[in-house]
Amino acid sequence: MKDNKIEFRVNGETRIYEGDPLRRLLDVLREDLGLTGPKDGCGEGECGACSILLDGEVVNSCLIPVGTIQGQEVLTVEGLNETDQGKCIVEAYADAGAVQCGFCIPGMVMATEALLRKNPSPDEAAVRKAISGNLCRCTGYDQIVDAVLMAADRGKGLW
Amino acid sequence: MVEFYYPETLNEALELRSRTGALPLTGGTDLMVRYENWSSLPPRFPGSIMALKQLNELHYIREEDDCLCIGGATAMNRILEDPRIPEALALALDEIAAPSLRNLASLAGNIQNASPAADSLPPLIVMDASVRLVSSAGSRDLPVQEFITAPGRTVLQQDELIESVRIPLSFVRQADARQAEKSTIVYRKVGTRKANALSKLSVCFFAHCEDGEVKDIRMALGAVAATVVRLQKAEEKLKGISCGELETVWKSVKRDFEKAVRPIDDQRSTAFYRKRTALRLLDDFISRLQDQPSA
Amino acid sequence: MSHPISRSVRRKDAVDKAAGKCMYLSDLYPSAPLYGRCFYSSIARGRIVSRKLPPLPEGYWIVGASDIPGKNSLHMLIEDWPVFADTHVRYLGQIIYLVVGPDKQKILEILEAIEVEYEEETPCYTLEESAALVGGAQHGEDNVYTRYDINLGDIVEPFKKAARVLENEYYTGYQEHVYMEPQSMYGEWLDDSFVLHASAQCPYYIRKSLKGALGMDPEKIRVIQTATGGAFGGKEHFPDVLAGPLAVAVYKIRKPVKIVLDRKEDLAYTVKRHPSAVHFRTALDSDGNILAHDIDLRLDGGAFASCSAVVLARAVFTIGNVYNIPHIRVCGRAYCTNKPPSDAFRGFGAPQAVFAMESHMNYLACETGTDPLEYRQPYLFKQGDVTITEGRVHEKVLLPEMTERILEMSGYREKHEEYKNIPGKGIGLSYFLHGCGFTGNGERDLIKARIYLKKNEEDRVFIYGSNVEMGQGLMTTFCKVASRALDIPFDQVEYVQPDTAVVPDSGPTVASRSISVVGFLVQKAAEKLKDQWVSGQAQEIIQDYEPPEGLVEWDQDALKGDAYPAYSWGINVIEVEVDPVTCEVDTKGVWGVYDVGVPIDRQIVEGQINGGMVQALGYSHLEKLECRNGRFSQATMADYIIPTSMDFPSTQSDILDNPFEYGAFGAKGAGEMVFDGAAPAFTAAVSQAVDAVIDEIPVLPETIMELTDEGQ
Repeated sequence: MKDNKIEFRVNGETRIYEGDPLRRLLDVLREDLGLTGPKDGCGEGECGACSILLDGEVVNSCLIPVGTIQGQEVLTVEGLNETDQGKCIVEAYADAGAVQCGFCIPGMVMATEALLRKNPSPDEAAVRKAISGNLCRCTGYDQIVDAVLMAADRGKGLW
Repeated sequence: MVEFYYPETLNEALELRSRTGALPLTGGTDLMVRYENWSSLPPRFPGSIMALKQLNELHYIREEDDCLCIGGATAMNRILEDPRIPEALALALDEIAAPSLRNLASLAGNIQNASPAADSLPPLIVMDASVRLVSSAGSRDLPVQEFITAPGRTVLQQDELIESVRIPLSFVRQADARQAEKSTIVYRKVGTRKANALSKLSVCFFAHCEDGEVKDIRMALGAVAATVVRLQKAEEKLKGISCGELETVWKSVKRDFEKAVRPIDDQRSTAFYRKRTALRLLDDFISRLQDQPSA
Repeated sequence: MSHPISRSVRRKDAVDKAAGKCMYLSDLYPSAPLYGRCFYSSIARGRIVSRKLPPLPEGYWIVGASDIPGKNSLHMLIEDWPVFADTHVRYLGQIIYLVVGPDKQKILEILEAIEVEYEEETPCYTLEESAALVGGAQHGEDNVYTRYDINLGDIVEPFKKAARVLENEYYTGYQEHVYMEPQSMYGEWLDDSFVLHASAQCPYYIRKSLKGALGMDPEKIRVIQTATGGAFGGKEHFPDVLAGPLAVAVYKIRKPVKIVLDRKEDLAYTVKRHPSAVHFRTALDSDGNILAHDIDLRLDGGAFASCSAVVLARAVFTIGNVYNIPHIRVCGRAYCTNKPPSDAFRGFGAPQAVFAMESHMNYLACETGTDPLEYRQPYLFKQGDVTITEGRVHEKVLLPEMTERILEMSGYREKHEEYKNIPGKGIGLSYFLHGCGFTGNGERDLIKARIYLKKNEEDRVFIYGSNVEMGQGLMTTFCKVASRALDIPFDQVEYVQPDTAVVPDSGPTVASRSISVVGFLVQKAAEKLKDQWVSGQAQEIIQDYEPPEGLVEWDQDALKGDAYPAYSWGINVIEVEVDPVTCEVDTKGVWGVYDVGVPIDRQIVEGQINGGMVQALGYSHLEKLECRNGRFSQATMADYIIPTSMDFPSTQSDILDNPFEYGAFGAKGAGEMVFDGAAPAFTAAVSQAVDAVIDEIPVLPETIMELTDEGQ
């Protein structure tokens, strides 16, 4: 961080941020960059609706002061959806009936991507564990689990 | 005015720390929640903040000085991925919050937060782990149990940081897989649900039995008192006795140690439940030891 | 045999939602010109004796009761809930002011500087305190919002000749909705009109609620629904409560204002499911057969009436559950207490009633030494049977087939026998039903639903109604119904997002009515359009509600007749293991068999089944919500425990077709019924595992420890 400028990449583009370094990354993404895919569901790292990937790891963007991500790579659902992997996951969610109200789903999709990068052929238990920080109040999770398994199956070789 | 500092080396961090007393923020998972503000406003930190996550010097896991040392900024998930991590700690970390949180949260932060319900503490205390505290003036090692003095309170000085968490290799070896038949390790978190949960209580027990005798036994319980409880006096009474007598001896002494288990009622659980469950987990552990083929 | 319409299609909203493109209210206006935040009462009951407001910087406002252009009341069922507390407060969290301005930090400073002095009065927090008029009556003369009495047959004789009378009481706790999207709305002043964008279930309810407060022609109040991130009843009436202060502020300031509740505010101050206490006295003959029930059913309504009367009605009309018992007396009452108001929540009184009745059936079976499954069989409703309100069960009842199916799927009979000898293991079963649509004459006399079906010159068809998509799949199922009736491709039909300036009032999105009642109007309109279809020409059909024929006329004063035109039915089986050391419950198996008429989309109905089941299992044993001195103890999402993906195994379900003549392609309601049965099946399973009677939910490890621990 030089001269109070924070430089990081979001969905492949370099961004330079000069505001309050203590603002939450979630707010910078939503308010400054217009990336409203990450949602504010609880503001305390409990619900996972704000999940993004930071240097490839899934994290809660509501818990990250933007000043701490100098030089790091942020991927939001908007960026993921431009990739073959992202499209595969989104399509699987749609086909498996995993989407109801949808508010938690962008976060779920990011947790799914993080899982499949580490484990491209997960079993049901691994899927349930990987999304355990993403709360959903509509689906009871069964069809979300189906969607992740479907994405893994259809996307063989992508991850 | 709340300042935000972003040191690039540990030395710079220590200099800043001694000069400003800025609050160290590593993963931020406790501090960002504690000082949470109205959505889209920065948190209401009580003083200046210093980021530590970027310090490469604090990201490591290595063996030195007969200890397995974990750098103070190492995220829980990185620790979990390391095969050298003792099972008791791995079990505890694996049940803390959820994967996304464990990618941010550090073990050192969990210790410094000093919650009576911090899940990493019972195993660390059972393992006699210590923290290395560093300042511009030097460094000192303190057992984790002595480091934490009360809920949210530690002996960390205004100019100090947790450089690493250190687990004695003697314990790692004792609890090692090769000793598995002789040693028993139990970690049990009783949470509010099966994942992404806070603890009603959590316990870690260890025993090493050989030649029909209890060579070593250690018992730590979290969230049953103001700080994590290690039943050292009970351990002394049980060490050296024959495994066959364990249950009888335990029954005769356990009343003396129940006093150390003095949980509270809160919104998460009841004092009655915490106390009964803690004692039942202890009873269960002892009876499992007694029933072991090697015992 | 499965109906062709049940074949699943991809939901219209799925891809946009998954890709993060769907815009919820907070996304539409990520930053607003002006924000609003409420100043809430800090005490549960008292008189406001003085207020001290800080000086305001330019561009900031404190809006309160004195700014209201019309009446200081929101029009729900009655008009007891004020827009702003003025002279009195009745619950901790009641809105006294709305502070509005451009900078959130500044708003917080203003809120902290507001001083309200109260003269505290003695609050009543329990049903007993309310009935005893602690601190004086607050609603009417007896604190009872509504009382409904049912007298089916005559219980006097059966109780006289009873060989045994067994009694017990059953309790259910609060539940918070935890829709993932917190309450959100945005109001603005446009062309002499108040325009509200809101995450809400019932756009026309909001309009009605605001009419008196703004003193405006309803046509000048426009409500536009935005993509709704979950609701479950929590966005039925509560949006009225936030829209009131927001509307008054926008009326005064004439600038756009946005309110999005933080999760902690949402948990602390929004409405919850009604806690209940149900007392049963049952007369049995010498063989243990049920002669009559005498039931006292009480709901804790909280500080304002909201829709407690209707929740009570459904609880009372559902308390008989699936059983044909000729003599039942019910005294049902909803009480006023000094706690945040209780309100609509998926199931709407039915889960409380079903829990009580099913738990009581288990208790009777246990006391008479009968198997709980066998004990129920002689009483199961059959077609033509008389309901608790002297209506009829008009439809064919598939309970025997459903029973056979669930026994086969779950292995209930064998496991129930086996677990008698295995401590720590248990399996439980429940039967339940859910009336479709509004109670009694509601659809005909109060709602009078209307929809439009419009076709443009490109032959694209648009559905206009006020029922919202809130996750349940309505946008998709409505289009399926129209496309099938028109025999045109699904993609040729579109659903129009509700906007009171554009869509007619087809009623609220509640009461398992959308697909069965309004969906039927969509079908009828589509059939008419098909008959009149002229390609390349714009056409429009207006379809009004027509009551089904052959019903027993409803008498609202006597509470007699068909309370509902049809019922959805279900059976659940839950299998558990209880940890012998910690008393934690591990759910090992979850099964459900359902009759929802005809599922309009199997995948969507399965989504309702799975989601309803997990939400109900949370209600059964995770979601503890305690109100102490008027304040909920569980203040954050780390404290209030909703299920994660790891808590329950997947739900194994089956759906049997049983077409309903007056539902869209035979559909009955599904969204609520799937919630109703899990709690009693779960407690029955735990009860077997720990060999103790469980008569209260949530059943926590703490409860089980207290029931079973001998070392205390």
